Amino acid sequence: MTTSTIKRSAPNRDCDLSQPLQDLNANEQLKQRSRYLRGNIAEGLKERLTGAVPGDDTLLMKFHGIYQQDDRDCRNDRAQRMLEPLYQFMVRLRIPGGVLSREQWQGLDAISRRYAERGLRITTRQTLQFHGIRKRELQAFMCAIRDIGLDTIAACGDDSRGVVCGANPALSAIHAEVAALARATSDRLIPRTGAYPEIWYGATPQPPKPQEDPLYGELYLPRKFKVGYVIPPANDIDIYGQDLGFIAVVEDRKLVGFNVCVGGGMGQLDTREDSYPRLAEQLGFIDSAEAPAFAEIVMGIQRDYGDRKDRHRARFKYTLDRLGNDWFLDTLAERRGQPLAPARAIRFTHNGDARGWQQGDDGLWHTTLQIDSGRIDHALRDQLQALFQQYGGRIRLTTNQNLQLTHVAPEEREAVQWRLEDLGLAERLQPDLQEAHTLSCVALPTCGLAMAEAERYTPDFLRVFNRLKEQHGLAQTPITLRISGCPNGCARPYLAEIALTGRAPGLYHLYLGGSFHGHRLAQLYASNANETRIVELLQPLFARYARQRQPQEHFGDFLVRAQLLNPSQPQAATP
Amino acid sequence: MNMATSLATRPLSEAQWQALQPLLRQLDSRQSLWLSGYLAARAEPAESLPLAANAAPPASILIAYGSETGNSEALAWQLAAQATARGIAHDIGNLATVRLRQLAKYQYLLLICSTHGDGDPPEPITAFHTALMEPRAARLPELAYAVLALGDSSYAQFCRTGQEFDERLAALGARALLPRQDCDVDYAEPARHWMSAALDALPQAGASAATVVATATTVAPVASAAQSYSKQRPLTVEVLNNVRLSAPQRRSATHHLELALDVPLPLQAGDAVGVLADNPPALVAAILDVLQLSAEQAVTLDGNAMPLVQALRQQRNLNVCSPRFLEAWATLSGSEELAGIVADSAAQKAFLRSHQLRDIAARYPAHPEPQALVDLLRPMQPRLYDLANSFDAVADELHLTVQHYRYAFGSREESGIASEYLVQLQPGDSLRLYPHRHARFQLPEDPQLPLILIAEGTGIAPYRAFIQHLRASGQHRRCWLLFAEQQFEQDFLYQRDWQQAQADGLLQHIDTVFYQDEPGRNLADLALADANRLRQWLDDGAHLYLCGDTVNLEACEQALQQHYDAQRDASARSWEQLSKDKRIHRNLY
Ligand code: SRM
Ligand SMILES: Cc1cc2nc3c(=O)[nH]c(=O)nc-3n(C[C@H](O)[C@H](O)[C@H](O)COP(=O)(O)OP(=O)(O)OC[C@H]3O[C@@H](n4cnc5c(N)ncnc54)[C@H](O)[C@@H]3O)c2cc1C
Ligand SMILES: Cc1cc2nc3c(=O)[nH]c(=O)nc-3n(C[C@H](O)[C@H](O)[C@H](O)COP(=O)(O)O)c2cc1C
Ligand code: SF4
Repeated sequence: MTTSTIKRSAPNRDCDLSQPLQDLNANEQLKQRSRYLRGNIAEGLKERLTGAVPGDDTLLMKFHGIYQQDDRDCRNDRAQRMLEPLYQFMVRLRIPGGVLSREQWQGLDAISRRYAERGLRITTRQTLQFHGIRKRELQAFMCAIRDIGLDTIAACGDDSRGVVCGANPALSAIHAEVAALARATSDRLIPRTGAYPEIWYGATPQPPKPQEDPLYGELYLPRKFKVGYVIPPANDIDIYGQDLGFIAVVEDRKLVGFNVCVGGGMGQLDTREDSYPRLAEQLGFIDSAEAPAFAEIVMGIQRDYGDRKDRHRARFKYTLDRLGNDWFLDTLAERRGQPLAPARAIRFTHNGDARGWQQGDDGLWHTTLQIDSGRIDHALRDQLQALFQQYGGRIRLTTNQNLQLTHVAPEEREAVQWRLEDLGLAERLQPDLQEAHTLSCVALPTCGLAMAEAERYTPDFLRVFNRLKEQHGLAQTPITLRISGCPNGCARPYLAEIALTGRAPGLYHLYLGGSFHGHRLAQLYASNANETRIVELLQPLFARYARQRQPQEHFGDFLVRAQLLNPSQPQAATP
Repeated sequence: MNMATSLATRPLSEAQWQALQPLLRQLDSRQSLWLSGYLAARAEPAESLPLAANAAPPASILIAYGSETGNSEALAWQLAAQATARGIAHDIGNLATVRLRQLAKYQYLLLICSTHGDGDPPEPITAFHTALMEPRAARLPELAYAVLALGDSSYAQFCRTGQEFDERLAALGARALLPRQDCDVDYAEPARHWMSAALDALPQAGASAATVVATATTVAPVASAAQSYSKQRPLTVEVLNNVRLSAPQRRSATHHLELALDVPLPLQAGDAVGVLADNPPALVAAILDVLQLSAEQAVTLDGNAMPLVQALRQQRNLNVCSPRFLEAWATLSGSEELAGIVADSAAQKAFLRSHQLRDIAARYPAHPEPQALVDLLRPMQPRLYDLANSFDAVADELHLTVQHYRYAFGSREESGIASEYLVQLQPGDSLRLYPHRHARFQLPEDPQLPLILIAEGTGIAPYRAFIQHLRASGQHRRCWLLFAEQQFEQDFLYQRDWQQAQADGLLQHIDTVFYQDEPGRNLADLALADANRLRQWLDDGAHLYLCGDTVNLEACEQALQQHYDAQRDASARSWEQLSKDKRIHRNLY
């Protein structure tokens, strides 16, 4: 640890906020011109010649939780037909900690039927996405979301994204405390601009006030900023993939505070050397009550020092690598008024969700419904609709793209179990072991960045993968597997034991050697491999693992121990 | 076609050029054609316009690109800018819209193209790539080319598309100007070298001091035979492309047809062609079958001998029968029932409305002689289809917008003969047609007058031609398009063209109504939503056009007329007067 009394040389500020606007990235200038995220969105929505929102406004709409997309499956066909692409919008909700009431679920169900396509989609940051919303219905959709007590503020954009919160069903009181802090953090960090109610709810437009968004200013953040809370021993949220992570430190069944870690991120570009996934580093400890204010300080540092010239290098992880941990700790101590205390001991065992019924220390019951790739298609939506017609508990979405039934009273538990069985949902409580350890991102046809299939390919790949595991007697061994349609890593592939990241239709980079609890980065093992090649490559590794593993040893750990990964040792986080 | 206009260096002084402009703007395409021929003839012998007549024809250079994420495209524009700076006239084209047959018109091709997928061409240029790779692709012996291939060496099929183009062009007899340059993701440097080498390899601007670059794509070649095509002497044209514009689930689909035009037709925007369709082969066979006639028997029509099958296929209407036919058939079949129907004129009318030839032949069997049969049947009438392109934008093609017509007939659904024939045509098929002028559906001569263009469905076709013409002739009129169809997402015919026209300032306003999206709203509501604009434009001398379905457009006009006449000042002209002034143009069917 450094002490704040030692003054270091001034950090290099030639790419941050302190530079003249005209030297910064075009996106910065756009934000500045946008009158606190208003732009011309309201006018663009009225333009009837196109299903798109004209000009640069799509960038601003992200701050409001809305992505313009088009159905890539019919892009070519429509171009032939001299039609514009089938423009549509993906809307992501802000649900800090992923908690919903039964009534909210019913509302979301109805909204998805009325406005969206392909059901609902639980994301790897425990919220919901709707796909396929059309421009002319966007405002009505947003009002419908408001009417059930939810919003989409900052679900995307250069701001504080959805704050995630892990689970520990056994420690109910602590979970409640941490979840409340996650919500408080989200509420504290979201933009305050009046643009949102004006554009989406039809509030009377006001001229922008001088300090309309005090936390952000006109330029907002250089890039997205992700905060997460986790309660060991589960690392369900993948704390080492967050820009800022709070790891609950529990002593004597009491929350004493958080170890904080900074600078995680998955995204990378295959075309740039200076682009890489990075694990968050654990740097110290804070009292629990301080967490939301602490998050604001860290975000402020990134706001002021993050790279605003090169958008790819604008994430907090690069700011830290550019200016160094010592600089960060000094700046933090200065803004916070005291240095960080040393981190406490913590231990993670896995990064999946707990399975089966679990009882909390308050006597209430919790369980997880497996949702493959988080996709609630029309059939599953109907099943859930029936389930939630009567239900006294709460609903929680997980960062493993699952849906949990929580806070079920002991007297209701049996009835819920029966209903799950009646509706054909019970098998989701004890899913196929491999499915339960698999994540995949949305990719085609909606994601504009996808280079290969992910969500739609996963069932096919799993069949092949499971057969391979069976051949080696590994059917009962969980292996974390993650598939993403491009190197951005929305399914957090670089934290899995095995990962595929899309390169072109049918071709993937194969990454191996992450840890079962997500504290070590997987390494690139093969480039541009198709399915046959991937199987060929895994075959001998599974064979050796089956023969030579130690008791309880996970696949990723084995690969590292047996030095089967080339070339250097993989990078691992501190604990 | 999405090519930027050629850069022309002119042998005229600025003053001469300026003096010429007002005249040129007034010429329609036939007049331009005439004038070009006149001037060319006047230029002989060589002294009066030495360069145009003597110098080698200007090198025609195409800079073409295939791009998915924009890198190749950006480089192509960079190259174009450098060429311009060196005074090298050229066209620039996106392979997404360039046609293979257009390549043959160029002597030089500078091609920049990336590779995508797993060694695949960029998505937008798939059609071009496929066409070039086809075994029967035309040879290109006159072409010299250079290829800059963009790629990423971390893919197995590095720069595959560029390589394919290179090899294929060579195989087709084209000559490489310089070796292909393959570029990795850091392409800036090698691209820069290649560009300057490629430009060095082209004939330089200085070489022939005043190269005249004919705007070849905008002037149709002169041909004397043009006027003589008619219903009787139709022109046979080849189908280049047939695109279904409607969604697959739509029953009455609208198609966009592109036909090769190797001789010019004396037509311009607003005109149409008459199409001579064939009856469906299955219908012809069914009729031969029910009448037990042999296909090969000879018959004579208008003095021409031909086999019966051809007469039935091409010359006779096999659906709708005439009263004369029915009378003759009553005799031929000896049916008393039919004779009874024929005797009562009301019954006869009703009968003919509900029975087509094959119904009659099946119900009242008869065995006419082949010649008697064809003499009794009504001749096949040509059907008119409006031009959907302007020859001054795309000179050597003819575009049609055709809706597959379907109607209920008794308990079955029937397809319109000509429209079904047209929408089923495949590239490479041929088709007979002749020019048809619409003297009353032309653009006003005065280039200042605003246009109000109202269409439903295929009625949009002539407006596409109008807009292409305005663009090509550099006219800046105020234009307002009002369009009705079924569904915004599936039926916005030529949506991209209208978006482009609006972005380019050719169309000031576009209003649409899609019946399924907004039930109850119609074209008149659309126009009257901005009634002030309508009045203002008409006061400014606007011409108003109505095109498409007769019933709906007549209803629209009536509503507009009522509103207009009720609101107008005493001094303003009435709708009827506007109509008499030939400011209301109708093309209804
Ligand atoms: C839905 C979701 C994946 C899923 O299957 O669940 C998702 C989907 C998309 N992500 Fe993501 N990301 C999702 C979690 C993540 C994660 C995981 C996490 O945060 O724990 C990451 C890695 C962590 C990180 O941020 O580094 C992630 C890293 C990215 C990146 C790379 C960012 C970078 O700085 O390198 C992009 C691309 C970008 O922002 O330029 C991206 C962009 C996208 C977009 C919006 C594509 C776009 O920008 O046009 C995808 C929308 C696809 C669609 O059609 O729905 N997404 N994305 C996740 C939604 C999370 C949420 O609710 O907020
Ligand atoms: C000036 C002009 C321009 C045109 N431009 C276009 C254009 O750009 N695009 C376009 O798609 N169309 C256009 N049309 C319409 C086109 O010419 C055809 O009329 C249309 O395609 C239908 O022709 P068809 O041969 O397919 O149908 P047909 O086989 O001729 O049948 C169509 C009509 O005949 C009736 N019919 C036929 N047989 C019977 C029967 N036995 N009993 C009762 N009714 C019967 C149908 O009810 C219907 O009214 C235009 C027409 C005109 C006059
Ligand atoms: C999904 C995808 C697949 C690609 N596949 C290949 C490939 O197979 N071979 C290759 O040489 N380059 C490949 N590339 C790299 C592109 O050719 C390269 O990025 C090029 O600069 C793109 O140029 P453009 O923007 O003009 O399309 C691929 C790129 C993407 C995004
Ligand atoms: S990983 Fe890539 S393909 Fe998948 S959702 Fe994220 S951006 Fe899209």
